[in-house]
Amino acid sequence: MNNDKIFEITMHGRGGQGAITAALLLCEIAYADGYTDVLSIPKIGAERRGAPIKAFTKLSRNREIKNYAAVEDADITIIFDASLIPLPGVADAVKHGTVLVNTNQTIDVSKFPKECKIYTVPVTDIALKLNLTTAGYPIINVPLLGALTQIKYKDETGEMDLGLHLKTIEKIALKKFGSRGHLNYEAAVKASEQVKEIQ
Amino acid sequence: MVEPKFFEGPQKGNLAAAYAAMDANVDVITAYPITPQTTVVEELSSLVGEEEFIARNQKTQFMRMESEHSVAAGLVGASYAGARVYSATAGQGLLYMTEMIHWMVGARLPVVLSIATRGLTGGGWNIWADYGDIMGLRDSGIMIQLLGTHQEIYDSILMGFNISEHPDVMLPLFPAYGGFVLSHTSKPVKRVPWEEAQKFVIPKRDEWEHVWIDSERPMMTGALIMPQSFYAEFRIKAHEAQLKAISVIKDTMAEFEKRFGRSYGNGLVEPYKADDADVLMIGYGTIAKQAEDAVDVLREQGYKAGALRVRTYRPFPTEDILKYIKKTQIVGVMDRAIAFGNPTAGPLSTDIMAACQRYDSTRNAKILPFIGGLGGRDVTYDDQIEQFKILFDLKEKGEAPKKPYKMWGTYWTGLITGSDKVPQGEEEYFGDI
Amino acid sequence: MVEEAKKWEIIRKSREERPKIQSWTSYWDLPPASLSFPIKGCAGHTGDWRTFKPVINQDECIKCYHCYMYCPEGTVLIDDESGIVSFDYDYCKGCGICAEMCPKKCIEMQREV
Repeated sequence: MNNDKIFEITMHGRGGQGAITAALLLCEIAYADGYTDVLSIPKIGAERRGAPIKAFTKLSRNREIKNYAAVEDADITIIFDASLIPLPGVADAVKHGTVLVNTNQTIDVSKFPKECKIYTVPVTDIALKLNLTTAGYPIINVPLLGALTQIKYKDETGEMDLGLHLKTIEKIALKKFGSRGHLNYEAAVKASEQVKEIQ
Repeated sequence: MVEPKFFEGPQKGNLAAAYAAMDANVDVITAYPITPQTTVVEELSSLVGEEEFIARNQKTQFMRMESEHSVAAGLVGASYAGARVYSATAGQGLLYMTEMIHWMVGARLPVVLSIATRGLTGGGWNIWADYGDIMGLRDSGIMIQLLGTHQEIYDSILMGFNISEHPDVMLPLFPAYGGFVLSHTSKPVKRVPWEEAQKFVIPKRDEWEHVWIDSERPMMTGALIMPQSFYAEFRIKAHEAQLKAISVIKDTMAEFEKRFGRSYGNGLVEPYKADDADVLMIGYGTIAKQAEDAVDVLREQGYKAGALRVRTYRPFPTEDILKYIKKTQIVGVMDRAIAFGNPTAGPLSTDIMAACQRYDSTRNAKILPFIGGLGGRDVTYDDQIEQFKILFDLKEKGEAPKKPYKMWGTYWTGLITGSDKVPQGEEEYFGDI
Repeated sequence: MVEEAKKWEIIRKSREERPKIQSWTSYWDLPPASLSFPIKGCAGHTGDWRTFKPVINQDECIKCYHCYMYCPEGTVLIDDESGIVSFDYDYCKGCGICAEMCPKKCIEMQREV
C-alpha cells in the first residue's frame, strides 16, 4: 500500500440524507483508525432539503493535507441515492477509483468508466427494516460508512482497503448519537454484510 | 476532574476557536450570529455551561446582544472594566462593528475578536471565503493575523491574549480565517490541557494600566480633544504600539513553541523552502498553505520554487518579508481580497511594493500581483502551478508573460475568460445562491 | 520619565492624592489614551465667569430640588439636616438654568457688576 497517498472521497447526497455528517464522521473514524491527517469539506451554502449536495473527505496517513479545494477527481465516490446518478457532476465526474451506490436494484454500470470498481448496498432497506429513522427519513449515512469498510480501492500499486473498522464506527456512533448509536452500529454491520460488488 | 467532551480529533475551525476562547479563560463573551461565524458563538453558548468548565469554577459571562454594533460596544464596556473579552464575527457584521472597532483602538483596549472572513454583499450576496471584510479595516489600528490551518486558529486565539494584553501593546487583535474553507471544514485539532493553558496565557489583571472603572477613583476617558491638544500624539502612540507588537508576537510564538512544540514560522511570516528559492510566492490564509504543495510538486520537477505565508498582516512584518525578497528578487503576491482602485488591486501586493522601497537591495525586485479565490472560488493546484510558471517565465525571459486574464498589470487567477475554463459547470445543482 | 511613572502611581491611587492639575508635556510623557481625572476645581475658580448670580428666596422654596437636579456644575448645595438650598459661589458660573427650572420662580438672577 502506498502510504503517502491522500485518499479523496466524494459523497453525493440529497439535503437531509446526512452526506455532510457522513463526511465528518468518516474523518473521525479514520482519525481513530490511524490516519494522521483528515479533512472534511462540506460544499454547502443555502441549505435545502432534497437538493443535491456534495461533501468531500480527504484522508492521509503520512502527509499533511494542505489542499482545501474541493475534490475534482475522487478516488472513492459514494452515491447516497441512485436517482442522483444521471445528474451532471455525479456519474460523469467519476474518472477512476471505486463507486459505492445505495440501491436495492441493479444499476446501469455503463455510466461509469470500465476500470472502476462498483459496489451497491441497499442501506435504505436496512434502515427502514431496523426502524432507524428520524422525522420519517431513513438514516443511511452510518450504514454507508459500514459498507465503506468492506470495499476495495485499486490503482497501479495494487488493491487495498481503507483500513477502517466496524468497531471504530461503533465507538464513534456511541459517542456522537448516545443510545441511538447501537442501532446505527447494527445497521452498519448489516450493510457491511450486504455490500455487493457488481463490477 | 471532569473528562473534557472534546480534547483531540477532527474539529471544525469555528469550534476550535470557541474552545480556544474558553481555554484562555475569558471573562466576557458578547455574541451575535452571522454566517459563517455562527457556530463559534453557538458553541460558546453551550460551552459556558459545560461541566468541564463549571467543575473548574470558570466564570465566563455569555451575553447575547441585539446587533454586531452592540457586540463590539459590549466588548469595549467590559474591557474598560479590565475584563478579558472575546467575540467573533464576519463580513457585514464586521462592517457594522467598525465604529466601535476604532474606539477599541483609540481607547487601547485589548480585545480578541476572531473573524471567519467572507465576501461582502452588494453586487450579489456572498458568504464564502474572501478577505475583503478584514482588509477593509487594515488601517484602523487593529492587529490582524491571517490563519492557515485549524490548529492555528486554536493556537492563535490562545496566543492572542498574550499579545493583545501585553503592556507594551494594548491593542485589539483580530485572528482571521477563511469562512467555510476553515470554519466549516474539519481537521485534527489538539487542545492544550486547561491547566497548562492557564500557565501560558498572560495573568489576568484587575485593571489596565491606563483605564479603570472605580467610583472611588473616578476618571474620564474619550473626552473632547482640541486640535492643539494631544490627539495627534495619541494616534501616533497607537502606531508605536503596533511596531512594538512585532517583537511581542515573536516572543509569544517562541514561548508557545517552547511549551507546546508547535510553531508557525516566527509568528509573523511562515517560509516554506524560501531560503534557496529562485522565485517566491507570497500569500496568506489557506491559499498560501496550499501553495506549499505546489512548491513540492515544482521542486520534484526541478524548479526551485518557494512560498512565504504572511501570518501577521498588521503590524506589517516589513523586515521579515524583505529578508526573503532580497534573496529571490522575483516575487508573486497572491491576494484573496480586492482593494478597489489600489495600484495593484491587491492590499498585500501594494504593501509589499511599498515596503520594497526601503532598501536598495529590494528596490528593483520584480513583484507580480495575483488576485484569485474571491468569494470562495477554489484556487486549485493547477492554478497555483500556473502562477509559479508565470514567475519562472519572468525569470527566464525577463518579461512577464501575457495572459488573457492579465489586466491592468494584475493576474486575475481563475478569471472566467470563456475560452479555456469554466470553474464548475454543475454549479447550479449545488444549492449555491 | 521616572517621575512621570511616580505621578502615574499617585493618580491611580486615590482622588485625594491626585495632583490638582494634571498635565502632560510631550509625546513621551503621555498615557496610551486620552484621560482626565475629575477633581473639584481642576479648571480653576469658575465662579469668576459669572456676571449674574442666583439668589434664592428661602420663604418660597418648596425644596423640590429641581435646581439641584439641573445645575450643570453641581454648585447647588443642600444642607444635610435642614434640606435648605444654597449655592457654591466659588464655582457657580451664573448660567441661570436653576432660575429657569425653578417651578416657584423663587430663584432670582441678580446683577453682580
